[in-house]
Amino acid sequence: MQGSHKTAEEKYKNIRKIAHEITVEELPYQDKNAIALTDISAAALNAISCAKGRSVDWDWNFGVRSYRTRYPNRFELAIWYSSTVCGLSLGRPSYHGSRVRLDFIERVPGTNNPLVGRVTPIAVTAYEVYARLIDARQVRIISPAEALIEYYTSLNYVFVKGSGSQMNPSYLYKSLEG
Amino acid sequence: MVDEKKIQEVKKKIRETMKEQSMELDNEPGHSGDPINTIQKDVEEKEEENESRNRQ
Repeated sequence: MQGSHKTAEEKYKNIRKIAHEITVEELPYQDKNAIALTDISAAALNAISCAKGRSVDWDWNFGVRSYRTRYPNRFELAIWYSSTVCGLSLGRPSYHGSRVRLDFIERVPGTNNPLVGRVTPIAVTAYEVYARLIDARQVRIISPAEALIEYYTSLNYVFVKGSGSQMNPSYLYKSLEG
Repeated sequence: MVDEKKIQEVKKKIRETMKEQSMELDNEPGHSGDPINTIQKDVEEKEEENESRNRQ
């Protein structure tokens, strides 16, 4: 790892930690003391890869490795309830840092997941906190699940339909005011 | 580094934002996004370059 990459890695790791802490602190849930947000640890990766009944077979190990190599300013999110991993997400700022993208998110399946229904709202809040901390002007949600578009628009996100090609996916965006 | 003033500003903004929105979903899907096809970098960079040029 080059010196500049290492310096950036440390800087953004610290900002992610602050973003995680602010998000939990401001959550409106009565049981928020049981909720923790962290970077994606080996334990979190193991938990999701072993989970039964997943809706997708995404390779989070590969995704995390790839983002860690390429983007020191990425946003990593593991959402925990006590010692249970409930969801993972990865995203990153755009090249010039004016936007932060939520690239993908997966909720751990099963009725035992205590944060069913809350993983997406927590994640979107965390991305907005991170975006504000790094002075990005916009949050984008890339290739949103159809079922979530109405929810995201209720949060003042604007839907932009893509052409269907890999280079031009649908997304939602929200401008962050001062 | 993020200073304390910035942290307090962000907390205030997020608190205001959360007051207006639902923080619980009835039918939350298991996933969203597309890790295989998230390479929108070129498109975004072009947009940002254009915006930079327009500002200058």
